[in-house]
Amino acid sequence: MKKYSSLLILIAGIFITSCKKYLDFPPEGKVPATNFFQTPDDAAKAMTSMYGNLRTWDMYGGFNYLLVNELPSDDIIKGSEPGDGGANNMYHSFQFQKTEGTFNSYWNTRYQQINLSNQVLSNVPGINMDQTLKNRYFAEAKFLRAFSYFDLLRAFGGVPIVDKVPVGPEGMLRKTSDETYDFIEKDLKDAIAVLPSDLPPAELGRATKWAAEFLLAKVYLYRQKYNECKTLTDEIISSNKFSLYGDFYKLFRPEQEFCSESIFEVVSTYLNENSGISSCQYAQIRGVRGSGTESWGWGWGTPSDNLVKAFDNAGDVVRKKVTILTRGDITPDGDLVAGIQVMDGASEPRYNGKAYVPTRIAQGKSGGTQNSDQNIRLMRYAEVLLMNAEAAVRTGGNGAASLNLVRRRAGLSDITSPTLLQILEERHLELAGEGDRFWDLVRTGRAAEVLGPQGFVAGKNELFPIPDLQVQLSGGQLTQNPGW
Amino acid sequence: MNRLLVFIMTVCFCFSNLIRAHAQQNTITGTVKNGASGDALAGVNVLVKGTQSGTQTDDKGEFSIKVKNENTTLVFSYVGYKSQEVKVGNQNVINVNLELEVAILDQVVVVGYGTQKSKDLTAPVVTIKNEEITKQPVSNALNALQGKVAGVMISTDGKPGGAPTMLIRGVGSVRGAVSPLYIVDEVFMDDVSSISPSDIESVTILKDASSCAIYGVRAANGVVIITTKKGTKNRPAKVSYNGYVGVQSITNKMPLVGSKQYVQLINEKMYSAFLRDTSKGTYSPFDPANYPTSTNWYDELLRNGFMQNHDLSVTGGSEKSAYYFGVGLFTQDGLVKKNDYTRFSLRGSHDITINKYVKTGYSLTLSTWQENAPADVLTRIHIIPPVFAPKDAQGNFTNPLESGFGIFANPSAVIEYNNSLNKNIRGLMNLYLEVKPIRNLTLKTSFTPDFKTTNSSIYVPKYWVSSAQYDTVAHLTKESNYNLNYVWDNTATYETRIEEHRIKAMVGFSAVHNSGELLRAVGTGVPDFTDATHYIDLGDKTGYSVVNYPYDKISALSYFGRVQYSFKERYLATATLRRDGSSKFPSDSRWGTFPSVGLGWIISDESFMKKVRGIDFLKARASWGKLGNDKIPQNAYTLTANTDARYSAIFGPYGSNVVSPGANITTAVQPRLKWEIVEESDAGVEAAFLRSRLNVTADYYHRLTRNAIFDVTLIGSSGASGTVLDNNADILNQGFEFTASWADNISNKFSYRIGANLTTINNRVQKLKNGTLPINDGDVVNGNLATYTQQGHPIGEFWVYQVDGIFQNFNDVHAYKNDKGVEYMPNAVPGDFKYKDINGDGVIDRKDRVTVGSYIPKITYGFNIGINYNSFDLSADFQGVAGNKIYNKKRANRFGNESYDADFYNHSWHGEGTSNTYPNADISGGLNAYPNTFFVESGSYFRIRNIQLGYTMPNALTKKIGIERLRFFVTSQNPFTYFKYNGVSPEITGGTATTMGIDNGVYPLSRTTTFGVNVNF
Repeated sequence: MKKYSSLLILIAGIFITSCKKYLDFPPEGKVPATNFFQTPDDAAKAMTSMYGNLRTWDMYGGFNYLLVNELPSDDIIKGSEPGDGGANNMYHSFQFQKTEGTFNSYWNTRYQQINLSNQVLSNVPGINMDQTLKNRYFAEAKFLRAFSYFDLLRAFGGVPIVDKVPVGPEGMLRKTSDETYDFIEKDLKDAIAVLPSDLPPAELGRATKWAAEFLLAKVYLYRQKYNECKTLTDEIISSNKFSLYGDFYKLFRPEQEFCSESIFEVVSTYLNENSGISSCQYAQIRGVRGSGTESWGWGWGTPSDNLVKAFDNAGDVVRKKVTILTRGDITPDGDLVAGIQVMDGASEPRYNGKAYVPTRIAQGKSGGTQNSDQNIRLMRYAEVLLMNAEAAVRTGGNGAASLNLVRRRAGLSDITSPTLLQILEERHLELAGEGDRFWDLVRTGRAAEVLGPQGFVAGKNELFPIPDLQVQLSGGQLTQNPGW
Repeated sequence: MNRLLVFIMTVCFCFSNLIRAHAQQNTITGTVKNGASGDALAGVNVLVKGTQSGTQTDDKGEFSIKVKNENTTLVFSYVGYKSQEVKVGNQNVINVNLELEVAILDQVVVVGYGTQKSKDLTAPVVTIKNEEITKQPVSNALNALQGKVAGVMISTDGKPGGAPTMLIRGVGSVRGAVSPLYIVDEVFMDDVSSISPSDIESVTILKDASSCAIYGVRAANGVVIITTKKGTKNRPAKVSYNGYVGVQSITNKMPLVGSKQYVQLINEKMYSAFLRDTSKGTYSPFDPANYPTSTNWYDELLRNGFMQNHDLSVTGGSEKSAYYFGVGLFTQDGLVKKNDYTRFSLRGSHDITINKYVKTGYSLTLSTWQENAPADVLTRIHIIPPVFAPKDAQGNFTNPLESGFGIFANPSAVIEYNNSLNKNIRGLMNLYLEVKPIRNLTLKTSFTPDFKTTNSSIYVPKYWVSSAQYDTVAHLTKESNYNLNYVWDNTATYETRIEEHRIKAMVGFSAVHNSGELLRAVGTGVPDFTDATHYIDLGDKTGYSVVNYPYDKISALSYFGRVQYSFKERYLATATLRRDGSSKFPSDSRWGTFPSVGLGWIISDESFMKKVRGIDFLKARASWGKLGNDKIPQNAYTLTANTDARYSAIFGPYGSNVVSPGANITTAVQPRLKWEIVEESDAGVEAAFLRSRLNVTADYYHRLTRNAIFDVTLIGSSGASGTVLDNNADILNQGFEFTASWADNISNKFSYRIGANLTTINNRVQKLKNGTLPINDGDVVNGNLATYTQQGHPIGEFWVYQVDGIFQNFNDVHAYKNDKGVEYMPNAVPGDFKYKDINGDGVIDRKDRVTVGSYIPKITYGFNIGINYNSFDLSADFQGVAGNKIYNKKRANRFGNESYDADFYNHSWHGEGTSNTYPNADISGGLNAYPNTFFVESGSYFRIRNIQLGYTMPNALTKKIGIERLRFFVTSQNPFTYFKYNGVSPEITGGTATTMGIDNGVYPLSRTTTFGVNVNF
């Protein structure tokens, strides 16, 4: 008898001693995060993720960018047919509430982009790899992080600064606008010190020193640090790396991506059978709305009657024709602009010509992603010249040299000593439909005057409301903007 | 009802007198008394053993009976007393003292890792025996429990072989599992549909935390222990056959509109839509005369189904061994065409006594079943326009697009072309060794592997019905699932009695492991000569896709113990403790401890109660325990890298196509996600009155889930997307359970019983941690969410706009203004819902939504009656639920020209003054699409669950042909269900805790009529 019980006791003994091992094994069929950020390859993937995410619906390829950066301006309206997403007209008429999901999404997705940078900055240091490459990744991460903070800052004012993972209580507390600017400046200066000046063709789309300098110059402009802005833009100009591309129409066609005028673009490509890669809908959203062969897209984010007037007042024919596609136009690529006959909020159907993808490129590609072969041009040399001219005038100098380069390309006559207003109007027309107009009006204090008729309320609409959901989630720690 | 009963009884008595035999010679007289009190007992049955003849005692307890000879034995039986047999011998006067028995209390009940006498229980534990289960023609034993047990709510899934949903004492989890733990012969299972009901000896339900705590972290939703049949020692072989055949037919069809009515409604709908925005085109109605065809899709897609079940078993045993062997075959046709289910099962068990110390044995349960499952047509049946026939005159499937009402799939073609065939094998093997090294000590080790494979095959040929319903190339999908689990239990049990103290102590440890994987491959161009060519290899060798992933691999380890203590046989205590560790949780926090305690007091055994007449048994008990729910989303604590293609990029100039793969950590999960904890208290009373003919049990339960898992919306600056799960809520379920039964013999040939049970459930989210937002869920049309799970309210409560009538005309619309004269709903058109400004803030918005109840019933109930008269037996079960709600999504969810039900046609708004409750036909147009009170309907129902009439052939007759027992029966399952809900069934299975009760088409209710036979040799 004893032998049976001792057998049981023996079995029990073996069992208990092997317990620890019994419960410890890696999760089946998953790549745990602890196994990521181990190799140079992982670091490269994380670097790529920061760029890949830029083209998505959440960032520049979708509605957040359109509704927050473009619709509040006097240049761009919702467009499309009456009744199609009519509620979105509120972003043009300033009728929105602090509870709109768009603001929450704009907020969240910028921080999600920042997280991609912070993951690189927090986790790549531990990877055993080439230090130079590592440093370049850090610089890219800081440049892109600064870019997202700049988006947040323009929209909401000072915001919580998170600069590492995991995020602690700092995520609940707003910094002042100055503190946020300081943080952006520091990131950009760090990036400028490391980023390459030139890229091999295979790396086009990644950040250069010039892109970081461009953004820093713009930050100086917003902070009214005009001397710094002037110095920095002079530096970019005198590097002779960039020049305006002669043909304003061709400039925006895919073949001219990364041309002499390009400083930073969000890479977007159509790849057959790969909807994840072909996910940028920037051009799809803005394409001609219609049915069948008349349809190139959704017909949203279209030029307003105001913008037409602005071009006409300036006698600006070249840029008007490129920036505004009007129903009935035939493009230099031979496409007839047809589609819907009535457009919401406009006297005739028009489309953002800078986002137009010719049929010769779009045809044969599957619906929804057919226009994804169009990079989003975020930084052009023309803007450097315009920043330089503005800074010059604001610091008591003459901005004519830079300004007239831009005017000449547009077929306009030179101005010998331009006023600030003339430079700002040049900026308006040159960059129309590129997402800067609303911010420029706020920055220069003319928003109430220009946008008042639309519904802009001074003292309130300079900033968008901090998303109400975020205020709630912070337990009220995130303070709301004035007027909200 | 009473009159009916009297009538039945009278008829039965008359009948019995006709067949009564008269052949007595000697007369025996005597008196029968209560052995304890000495009182005379009236109505005691006095029967000559082995015959049908007998008598009853009169008011004075006296009887007189004629017997053949001195070898005759008399049997004295009386409900509530132990039967006594007396051999006549040479006595002429026989006086008998009968002893009270509380039979049910002597029952041995299965509890976790052991057994306990019912009388000693300190917790609410209910056992249902085989006879009760096999009475119902169901494939899954759990279906037979519907309405039988207080505190247990079962919702039937009508599809063949469908597993019911079972909830014990409410819903305690939002994101974790809510179904109980099923234990079949020591193995933990999620689904017991592989087990043939006839192989089941008993089903025991552990309802409260003190009885469940021995199963620790798995037991939060209650435990159902299924014990399969075993042989009995020292019994000759007994062969049994039980079988039935029957027909299933739909009972609660919902009438739909015919073509004429359909076209009228569509025209009305289009007119309303036209009024909404007159700038968009003109109103051009359809002419009903163009649509002569009117198809009733119920009749086209559904049918009556045949079902059968056959079980054969052999059981017996010698002095040293006992065996059981059974085979079963069950087949059922679905109500949906091409849907059927077949199960073949085999079970054997053998227990061997090696010597007085050692016992060993094994059991093997092997099932194989297959299912022909057509693609889902039940969600389509309500929305398909009646205007086209399934097939045209040439016998080809009709193209629904040609009728001009929009894009619909032809559902008959869906059934024809989209079927899957699943083949399953499940084996459950139990081996055990039991050693009794010293007196009172039992050591047991038991190892039970459980494997299951499922192979499914879906063949969709190349076909063309319409431009929206076609396959350009044949697709064959093959899927292979494999699961292997095992449980290894080891226990030591010691039992002793020291004077008035009785102690039973058990300690044990257990190891569990689960693993499995799925492999799915899709091939194209596979030829379809017969099923024999359905192999991917025969296809075109291009366009393969393969998916392969594991099921969660889990190891768990547990230590547990239990002490049962009884003092003077009337003061009872039970305490358990379990410690569970599971690989599901991070290594530094994977162990949890789950204690429980139960106390009982048998008041009726106290001396002061002896004088109280009428109360035969009275026990009060109270218990408390802590349980865990580890059926939560898996590996939620593991941070993983996101490799979604959105993070990849193509760098380089225009024309570049080299993808740089991207990946990053994009989620922030709560690395400490732990099991949910249930703390439950229970207080109960069990009593038997009036010679134990009346038995009553009542319980109050208070079941609090702490650390319940809830979605947590992350603050945006964390950089993580969306929501994560965290242990952030408390959920309370509380209520009362009552069970009462009455059983009596009116004569030795006539007995009856009635029973009833009632449960109340009060379910609510008790507390949400600060910053946790309510869950808005349950899409009913186009992203409109209808449920809201918030603090102080039930889980998955419907949260909708309050309909305050229907706008009769535009004047009505424009007159609906707030205090400031601003129109509430300026864009409404006549026939639209008018919503109420609940909070009076002058606008209609989500703050005006009202909570109108959830799918969780407030009350569930059941009752049953049984009558035995001579050789006839009749039983009937009834059950129902009350106080719950259903969201009629199949009515709300429409995007184009979906069809309508006839009730809607009859009551809807067809013009000014036609209805102030039903809207116009544009059900999802304008603000009509908002979830609202119109679509929330009562989910209450009452059902006759089962009626069975049986006839047992007289023993004297059957013995001559070697049959011990022969019984014929006819059964009607679900003959009648009453409900007001506008659907085919008020039992809405499926959905999560926050989406339950949203009906988008469920399997219809059916009645099953079967004829069967039980034979024992």
